[in-house]
Amino acid sequence: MADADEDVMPRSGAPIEDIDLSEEVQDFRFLATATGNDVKIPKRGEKDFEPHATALQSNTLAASRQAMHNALSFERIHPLKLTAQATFHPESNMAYAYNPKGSPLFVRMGQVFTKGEDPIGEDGLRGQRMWFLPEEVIYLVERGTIDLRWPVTEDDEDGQGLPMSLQAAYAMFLGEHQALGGALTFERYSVFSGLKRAGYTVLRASSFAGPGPAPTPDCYPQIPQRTWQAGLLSLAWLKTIFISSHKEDDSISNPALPVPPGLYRNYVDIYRRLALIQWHDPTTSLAPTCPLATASDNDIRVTWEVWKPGSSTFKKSDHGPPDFRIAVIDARDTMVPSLQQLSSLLETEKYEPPKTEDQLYQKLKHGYKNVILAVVDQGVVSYLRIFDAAFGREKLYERMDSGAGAKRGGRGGRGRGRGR
Amino acid sequence: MAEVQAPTGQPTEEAIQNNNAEPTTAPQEPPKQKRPPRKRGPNYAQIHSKPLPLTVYPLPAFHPSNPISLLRLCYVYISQILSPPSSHPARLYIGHFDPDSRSIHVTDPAHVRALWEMGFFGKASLSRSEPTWLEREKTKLRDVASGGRTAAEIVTKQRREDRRLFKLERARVERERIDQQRAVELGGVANDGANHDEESRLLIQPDAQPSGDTPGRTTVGALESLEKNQHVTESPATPELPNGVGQVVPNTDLPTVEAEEVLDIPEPIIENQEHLQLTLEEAFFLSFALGVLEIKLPTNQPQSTSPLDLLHLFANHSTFPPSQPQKPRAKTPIPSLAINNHHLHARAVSHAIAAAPLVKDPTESSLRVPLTAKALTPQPQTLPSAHPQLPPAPDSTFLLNYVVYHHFRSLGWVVRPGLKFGADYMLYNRGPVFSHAEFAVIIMPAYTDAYWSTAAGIRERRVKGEKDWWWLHCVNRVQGQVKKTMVLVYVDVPAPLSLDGQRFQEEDVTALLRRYKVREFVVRRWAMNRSRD
Repeated sequence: MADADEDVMPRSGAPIEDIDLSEEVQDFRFLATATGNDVKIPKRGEKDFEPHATALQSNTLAASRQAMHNALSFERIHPLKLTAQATFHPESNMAYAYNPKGSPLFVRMGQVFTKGEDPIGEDGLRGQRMWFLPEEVIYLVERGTIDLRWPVTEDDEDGQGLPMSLQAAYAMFLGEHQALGGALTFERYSVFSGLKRAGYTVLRASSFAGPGPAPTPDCYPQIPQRTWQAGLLSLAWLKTIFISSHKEDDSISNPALPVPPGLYRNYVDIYRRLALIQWHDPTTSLAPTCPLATASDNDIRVTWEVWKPGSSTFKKSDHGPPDFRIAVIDARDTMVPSLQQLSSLLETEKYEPPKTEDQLYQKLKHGYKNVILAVVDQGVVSYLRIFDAAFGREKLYERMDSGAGAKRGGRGGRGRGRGR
Repeated sequence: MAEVQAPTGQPTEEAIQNNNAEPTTAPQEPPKQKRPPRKRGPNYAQIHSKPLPLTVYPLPAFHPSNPISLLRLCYVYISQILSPPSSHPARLYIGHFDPDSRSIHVTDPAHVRALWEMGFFGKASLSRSEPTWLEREKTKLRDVASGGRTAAEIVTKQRREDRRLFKLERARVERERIDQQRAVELGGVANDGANHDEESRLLIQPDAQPSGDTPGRTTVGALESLEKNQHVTESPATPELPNGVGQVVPNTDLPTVEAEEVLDIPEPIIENQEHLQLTLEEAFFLSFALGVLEIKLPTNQPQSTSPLDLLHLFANHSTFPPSQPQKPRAKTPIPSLAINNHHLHARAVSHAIAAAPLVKDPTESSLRVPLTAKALTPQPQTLPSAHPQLPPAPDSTFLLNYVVYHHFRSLGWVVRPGLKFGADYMLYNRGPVFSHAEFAVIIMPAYTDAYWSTAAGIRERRVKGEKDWWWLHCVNRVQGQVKKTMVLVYVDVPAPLSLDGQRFQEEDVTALLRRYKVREFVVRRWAMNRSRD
């Protein structure tokens, strides 16, 4: 029906992609059913919106509350031999630990430096010394996985440094970031810890602390090699023989108009004449489009590279390509990005065209490049994914009528000869 | 979403809902209850077979095995050479420019029908979008069920009425259930068995499906009455959004039309008071790009309607109040505000607003809204009579909107105004009658040209502020709720044409349009918890 959009009601509550169970308070009674290996995330239950004054309702509420209290009052224990001890290194604003064990987190966090990179230098323990970046330190201290200490001074009795409180950790690693040349802000840390808690592996991108390296060749589409055999076979030359310039058959009364009065044989011709507006084509851009100029402060840069939790290709020595790239933006200091900001951000993204067998809408929504913007507003993070779609490449008029315009006996070359 | 790529003979929406409803109501309904025969809706694929108001004449197909087809081909070809038919209509459609509503009115019913059917241009002034007012009036006067065609408004009204009744019924059932529960608790052990059933069902709520697709068991027998054609949610019903109701058949309450009854009542004679309103961009597209519309200006003006004049006219009228025909661009035209006899300079007001740190720009970004209670000095309705020497500002609202409109129309999309959803345009694959719009377009101007970074350029930009993140998230949420994809379209505004003392001729409208560049970005929310694998 014409414009039936007005009465669209959501079929079953909120649309599927907007039901984010982590945003709602879950019912703790489901924890009891969540034992075992195949745990299904419970679907949304049904809400009562007002008190009914029935015993049933209040009993259910009391049971849920009790379940929540039970779950929260579970006592957390840090066994001594599973806690790794780390020492703060002021000069490089990082912390190091020797062969930390005790948590599966260490498989994906921390790094061992080579002889040249290690801030302490080569002493026999370099190979066992694992260094943690500032954001990793704060996260591990918050979880209680490591026991962070100040550097050893001669006043210490037992040879270990003083324990560092969480407050001090925040002050050193977040607060001093500018003084020590780091680039970790509270917004970036919020995004980091949110993602880590969800299970992802998060590492710094190369453009974390400044403009990154220039775009690599895989950010641009590959040019197919044109050989003379390919040209011959494409039957493009048939076009020049067979296609009569029937466009000039129309009595063109006014050459300035896009579609002058005359005789047209199909709608495809009309639509082709209407194409006046230039559009950005990501498949043909082989160089930066907008002048990339100098890196200015209001550039948006990719901060974190993220791998999925179940990713089997991730190894500390050889990461592999990241699954997502996230740029962190402060919502209070910036505005919706301008075209220059977005295009220079997308320049550094990998070029991933949609598959040719996809449907039209999927192709348009998949786009050719994408990046995730994490917009942080005083600790509340919202993720937006930006796809570089090219509507001009999916011409609707070529799909319009499959029957009418296709077969015109004896005219023109093959479909390939029309040229794209 | 109605997923129809319509083959011929596709029934209307209520028929589609019937199709959805039938397989699942069949096991429930007693087989002897017959539903009244469904009306076939209008054949939209046939009515809207032409995507643009131009007729094309394809040559007939040539089959090598059939020699007669060659003869036919030659005959048609030669007859088209000797007396070539034109793709454009013999008499152009006529539209009247109305400066008060800043739109083009088309009054001839044949033209209205043609423009709506071939490309979905315009909006009828007394209907929702398709011109159905006359039909609805006749239906009202005749006081019988809708005849051959059902208008969209009638269907909607019926659907809303049914939903309201369903909600009332469901609320009543819920109240009864709660009262019964309370009575049981106070009363004692009488219905222990039923109680346990209910309690256990409530406790195992994880299995409850809120969607109404599967028929739910009911506790109260009175709910049987609801089940004639509807689906009911689970018994612990909630005031959640009525999801099962979308499958209500609106035709059940309308009496079927018997052919004999219609013949007895004469057709009432009503004068059609409805006209079709075209927006400025649609009218410019029809008259300049396609050349099928002829625009008549109000009679006291000279009738120069070349594309360039129209461009100036529409660009001036894209803001309110309309700006005067341009002199050299020293400053942008400023209406005078008068509040309590103090003249507030609009530029001061706009500076104050623009200087505020977190300004939420309205989508149109025009800060020239008059704030006065007293009437403005009435602007004479001057339309550009002589050829002005300056082209309109390259970032005027009309030009930006038109560039995007033309771009998507030239790719084959049906572009309709998106005011209902907080966007600039909605993109339909074939048309509003076939499927819901998939994309909502928001237009953002981009000033990347070197000229706009100079002092003069910064001063002359129309859009001075930028949009903030809250606005973007608002629009994104709205589009998400209505299941559309948000597309941010950046229009790269070229530097204004320098005045070389030449007069611009008609070719220049095409040349003007060729200077723009468009880039689209699809914006979607990324759910962290859903992308883990």
